[in-house]
Amino acid sequence: MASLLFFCFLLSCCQSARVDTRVAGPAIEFTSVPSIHGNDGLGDPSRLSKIKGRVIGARPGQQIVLYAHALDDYGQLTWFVQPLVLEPFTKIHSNSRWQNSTHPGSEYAALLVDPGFQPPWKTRTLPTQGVVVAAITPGWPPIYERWWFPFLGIFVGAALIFSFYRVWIFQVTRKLNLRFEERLAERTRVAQELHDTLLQGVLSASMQLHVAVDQLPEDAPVRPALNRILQLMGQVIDEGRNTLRGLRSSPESVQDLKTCFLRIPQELGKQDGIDFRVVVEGPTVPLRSLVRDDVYSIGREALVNAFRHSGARTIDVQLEYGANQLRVLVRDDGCGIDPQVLKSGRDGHWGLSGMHERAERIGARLKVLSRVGGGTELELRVPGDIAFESPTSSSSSNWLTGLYQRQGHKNEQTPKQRVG
Amino acid sequence: MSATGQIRILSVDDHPLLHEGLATIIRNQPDLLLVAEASNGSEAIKQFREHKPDVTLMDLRLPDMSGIDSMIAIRSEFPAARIIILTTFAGDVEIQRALEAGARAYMLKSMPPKELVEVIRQVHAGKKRIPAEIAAHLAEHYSDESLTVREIEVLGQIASGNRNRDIAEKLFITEETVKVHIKHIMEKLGASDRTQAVAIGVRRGIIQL
Repeated sequence: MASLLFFCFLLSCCQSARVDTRVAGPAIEFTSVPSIHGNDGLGDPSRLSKIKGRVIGARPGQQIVLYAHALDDYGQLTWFVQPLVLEPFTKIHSNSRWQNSTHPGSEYAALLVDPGFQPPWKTRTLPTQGVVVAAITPGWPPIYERWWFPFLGIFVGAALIFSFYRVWIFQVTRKLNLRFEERLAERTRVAQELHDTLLQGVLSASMQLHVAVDQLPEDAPVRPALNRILQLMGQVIDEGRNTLRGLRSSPESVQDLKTCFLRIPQELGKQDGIDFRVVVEGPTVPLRSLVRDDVYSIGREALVNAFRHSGARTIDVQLEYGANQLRVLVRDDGCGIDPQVLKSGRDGHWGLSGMHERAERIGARLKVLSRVGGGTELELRVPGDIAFESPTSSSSSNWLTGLYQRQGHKNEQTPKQRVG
Repeated sequence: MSATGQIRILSVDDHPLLHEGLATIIRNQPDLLLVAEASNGSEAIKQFREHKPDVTLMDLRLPDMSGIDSMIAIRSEFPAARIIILTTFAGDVEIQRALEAGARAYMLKSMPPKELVEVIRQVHAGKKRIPAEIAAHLAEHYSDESLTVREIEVLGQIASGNRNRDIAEKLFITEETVKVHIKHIMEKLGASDRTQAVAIGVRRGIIQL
């Protein structure tokens, strides 16, 4: 589409060549004239350039005679026949176009002449006898001095930036997709190994312990302790199995980030006295599940910090589903994080390095702003191409429609604004 | 039944540790007798022919074939064979396939040994047993549309980390067809992307790890 526009644009530029006929009938038109660049109008016998044009309404046998305006030996402006004195005529092709070479001049003239016309090889004034029609044009300015050149520059620049951006996004998503596949394979492998070694071993141990406990007398003093161990092993087996089964600890339930975040204070057993809110802006667009996992983990870590360590009274989560990105904001009014820790990001206590690692893994940007005593604000931005699931993943041709659809959804969600 | 009136048992599992656990359980029950062990599907068929056990404990995940295939092979030769599926996971599709193939019971390895022993006795007495936990899994997806053989193949390929192009090459179909299969898989499983489809597939026992 862009190239088509560009072509139309060039075409319109070419057609701005001047036509020196104001009456109906035969007409001559220049389509390409040598540039005036580096041309002082003195003439230069050693240089030849292309000159092209069209004739409308020429009769058979008629030809074109070309002149270039240049200074003669006496310093007088004179028309010299082109390209050579011995070859003064230019043929009109069947498609009514003509072309020839010319020496440089300040102006160029094309004369449509009848058969038998005798062109003077140099003249102060252009001949009129036997000339059907004549056209004169100055040498054209060089490309970079034409009026449309800046526009062309802007256009090409924009197109370049735009295509670089597309290529970049394409590469990032492809790399991520590849990494997702790798991670999926890796998970499968790890799951297999866990199943084969750890889980079967614990199952066997638990079976044998069961049998051993059953053989103990009812009132044996170790019985409660062993029963507790059995109970623990049962939990380990259940958890291990669930992890394996879903390939992740929190299957499907992470579907809806808002619900998941809302569940966190309960999980931590810290819902008293803290004003906790989760706000969603924009229509909830399905996220790629691996991205969703990481976004959830980062958000969870931030909330765990806020609930456990910050002593905040209000904690806000903002989920913004934008057209181009997913933005997650976690804010608290607690004690803040020591700038030293923030800078180094190495303190395991806050899990900052893990959060940064996760963010990097999904091509997201993570910013943590905090002052001692001034609360903490964490911002995560994931580019839309990466975060949101696209109907035709990795097909770059449909990105525009995808974008429009997404924006369309947004409009549907806010009918009030449209009515107003 | 053996001369001493014990229930003779064949245990099929590829994990030696688990064999050990099962052996301990069975040894402790005077009415049960472990007559043979097998660590893969074909060995299970061989051991069954040789020992003709009263009850067979069969794992679903075996290195050479699935426990269900092994069970089908045994039952085609010995239609009266009483086989209990004893496995780690409870996926509705696996349970259904196992029961359709003639399993008398479906048990999880994590269930208390007492329950397992009880089920062995009941199956030996000619009963069918499906624990409540298992039945619940089955009911959950009872009316769901099932995947075609091809779709299961494609899902399995996705799980092993293959890209669409690789899947197309391996299954001798075009990449477009792969995409269509994936679309259908996700619709049927209610998954929002490939990863989730694999997770659901594994959980429901449509594909095995």
